[in-house]
Amino acid sequence: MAMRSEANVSDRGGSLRQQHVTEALAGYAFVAIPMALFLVFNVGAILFAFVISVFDWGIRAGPREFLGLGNFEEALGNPIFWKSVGNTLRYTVIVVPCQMALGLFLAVIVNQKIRGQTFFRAAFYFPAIASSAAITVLFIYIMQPEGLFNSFRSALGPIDPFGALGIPENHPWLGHSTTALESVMALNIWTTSGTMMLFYLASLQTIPRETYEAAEMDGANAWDVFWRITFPLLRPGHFFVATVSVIGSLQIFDQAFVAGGLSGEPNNALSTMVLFIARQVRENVDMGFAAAVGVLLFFLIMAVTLVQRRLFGAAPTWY
Amino acid sequence: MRQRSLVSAFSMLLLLAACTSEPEASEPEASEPGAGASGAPAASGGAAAECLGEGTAILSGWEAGPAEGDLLEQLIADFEERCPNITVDYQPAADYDAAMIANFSAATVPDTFYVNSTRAPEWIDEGFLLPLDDYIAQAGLDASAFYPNYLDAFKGPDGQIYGLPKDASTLVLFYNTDMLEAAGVEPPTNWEELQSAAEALTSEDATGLCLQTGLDRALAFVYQAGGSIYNEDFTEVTFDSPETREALDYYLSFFENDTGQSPVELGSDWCGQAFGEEKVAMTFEGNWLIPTLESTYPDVPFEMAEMPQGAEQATLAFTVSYSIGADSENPDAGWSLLSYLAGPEGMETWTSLGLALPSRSDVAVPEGRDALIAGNDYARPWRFTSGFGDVEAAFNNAMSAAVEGTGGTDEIIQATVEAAQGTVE
Repeated sequence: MAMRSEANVSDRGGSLRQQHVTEALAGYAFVAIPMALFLVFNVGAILFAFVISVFDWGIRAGPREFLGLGNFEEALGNPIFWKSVGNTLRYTVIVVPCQMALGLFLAVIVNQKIRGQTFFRAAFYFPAIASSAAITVLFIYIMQPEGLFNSFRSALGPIDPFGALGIPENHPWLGHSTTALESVMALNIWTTSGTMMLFYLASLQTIPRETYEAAEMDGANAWDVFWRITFPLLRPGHFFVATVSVIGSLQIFDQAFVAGGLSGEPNNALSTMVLFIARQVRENVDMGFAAAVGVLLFFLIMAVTLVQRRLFGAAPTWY
Repeated sequence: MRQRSLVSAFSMLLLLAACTSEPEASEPEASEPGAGASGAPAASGGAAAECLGEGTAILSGWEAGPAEGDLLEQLIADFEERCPNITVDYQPAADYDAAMIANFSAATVPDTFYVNSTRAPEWIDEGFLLPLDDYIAQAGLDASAFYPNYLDAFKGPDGQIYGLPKDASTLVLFYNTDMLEAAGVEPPTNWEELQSAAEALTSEDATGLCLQTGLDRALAFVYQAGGSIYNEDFTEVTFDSPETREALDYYLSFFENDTGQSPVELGSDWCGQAFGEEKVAMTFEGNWLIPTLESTYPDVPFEMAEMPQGAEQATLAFTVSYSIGADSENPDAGWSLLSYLAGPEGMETWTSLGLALPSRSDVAVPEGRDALIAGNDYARPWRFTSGFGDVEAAFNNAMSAAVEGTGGTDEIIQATVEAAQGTVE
C-alpha cells in the first residue's frame, strides 16, 4: 500500500526526497503558528513572571526596586501563605485519588455494552460542562443550613452518618471552617469526574481486544480481568489523568473564590495558593509579591509532576 | 448595493460632523493636544464654561441595579445636552477591581471612573489616578461643599485630591417596627439598650440581631469604645488596646448569648437579606439596603435609627469617588463629566430616587433618611492605608473563627495587629 503510493508520487515527477522536504516544511509551518503563540503567551509569560518576582514591581510604574529574594522571603514568612499551601496540598491529596477512582469507575461502567450507553456517558459528563461558578452557586444553596443536603440528612434521621460525627442538624457546610474545604472537595470530585471518565474511556479503547479474548479463553473472571489486565494496561491513562488532576487541584481557585470570597473565609479555610495570589494583585496591587508566590506554585507543580513520572513511568509507548 | 449606501451614509455623517464642528474650529487653540495631559487644563470655548475638552469621555463603574443604570443614562443625557462637544461612552464593568487593574497595566484607562474608598490608598500610591487640584482651582470649584469625611478619603499623602465623592452612606441601625412593637421594645440608643433589646427580640422564630463577622461592621463598635486600628497618620498600629478589647468582647457576646447570629448561621448571603426575610429584628447596614427592602421585601415594616452609642458616638462611612486616570486619553472631557456628576445638579439627579445619598451638604436629601444623614457629622470613613486588604482579611478570618468557637478577642487582636504591622513599615 505504502509502496504503491510512493511510486505514484515519484512517477508524477520530483524526487521522493524533495517531496519529503516540502511536506516537512509545510508541517513545520503549521506547527509554527501555535508554537509561536505558546512561546510568547505561555513560556514568555512564565519567564516574565520570574523577572517580576525579584522586583518591587508597579503595574503602572514597572520595576521600582530590585529585591532579589525579598518577595520570596516575605511569602515564606507569611502565615496566611502557609495556611494556603496547606489547604492546597490537603485538597490535592484527597481530591486526586477520589477523582481518579470515580472517573475510572464511571468509565468502566459506561464502557460496558449496556442499553442507553450514550445516555449514561452524556449524563455523567454533564456536570463538567456547567460553568464552575454557576455550579458552585447551586452547591452553596444545597449546602446551606436549611438547604437540600441538611434536609436529606434529617430525612435519614438516626442513620445520618454526619449526625453521628457530631455535626449539628442545620450545619453551615461552606460557612464553617471545619467543613468548608471538604465541601469544596466533594463539589469538585463530583463535577470533574465526568472529564476524568472521558480520559479513561479513551484510554480503555486502546487496550487490545485480543488480550481480553485470551483471558476469556483462560477462564479469567471479570474481577481478575479488571485487576490483571485493564488496570495495569491503563498505566499511561493513569499517568495522564493523575497529571491533569494534580495540576488542576493545585490551581484550585474559582470554586473557593465563589464560596469564600477573595479572603478565603471562614478562618482561612478556603484560602488557596491561587486565591492568595489573586488577593495580592486585586487588593494590594503587589505584582512582585504575587509573581513570587506564582513562581513558588510553579516549582511545586513541577516537583509533583516529576514525582508522578517516577511513579507511573514515562509517556506511553503505544499511543 | 448595500455597501454603496453604507458608504454614502458614512460620507453624509462626515459632512454633518464637519459642519457642526466648524464654529468650534474657529476658536483659538480650543483643544491643544497634550494641554490636559500636562495637568494644566486648557480653557475651552464653544459650550458652557464648565465644558472642558471635546470628543468622547469614557465613563466606567459598576452597577448596583437596573434602576441605577436608568438614572445614570438620564445623567449622561443631561450632561451631553449641557456639553454638546462631549459624547459619553458608558462602559460599566463586572468584576470591577480586576477589570481596572488590567486597564491600568495596559494604560487603557477610562476618562472618568469610580474608585472605592478602600482602594484609594493603593491606587493613589501606584500612580493610577490623576490629581485634580489644578482642575479644581481652574474651575473655581468649591470643594468644601463636600462633607470633609468623604472628601478626605480621596486625598493622597501629598494632600492633593484624587477623586470627588459621588455619594456616600453611613451605617445605621435598621429595625423591624412590627417585631419591636410586639416585644414592647424601644429602638436602642446605647450599648446596654442594644443588648437588652436583642435579648427581648430573640425568640423561637427570630433572632434579635444579625451581625456580620466582618471588620466593616465591628470597627464601628471599636470606634464607639474609643479604639482604633491606626494612629492618625497611619504610622503606628493602635489596635491592641483595652478599648478594642471591650468592643470585641461586646460584639462577640451577642454570638455567645445567641441574641445575635451571623448571616452564615442564619443561612443568608448577608444581613440585609436576613433582615428582609424577617429572620432577625435588627441589623446594621447603610442606605444600600433600602432599595433592596423596597423592591424585594416590600411588606417588611422597617425604620432606621442612629448607631447605638458606646463611650463615644461613632459610625462607619462608605463612599466612592469619581476619578480620572493618570493614563486617561481625554482627561479634560473626563473632568467636565466628573465635575457635572459630582456637582450639585448631577448629584441631585443621582440621589433623587434615594438609591444613594449625597456626599455634599448642599444637595437635598430624600425623606426618611435623617438617621443616615446625622451620621455624616461623626462617621469615620472606611479608608485606611496601602495593603489594608490583608488586615481586613486577617480580622474577618479570626472573627469568623471566634464566632465558631475557636479563639476569641485575643486571637482576633493578634491576627489583626500582625497583618497591620506589615502595612505601616
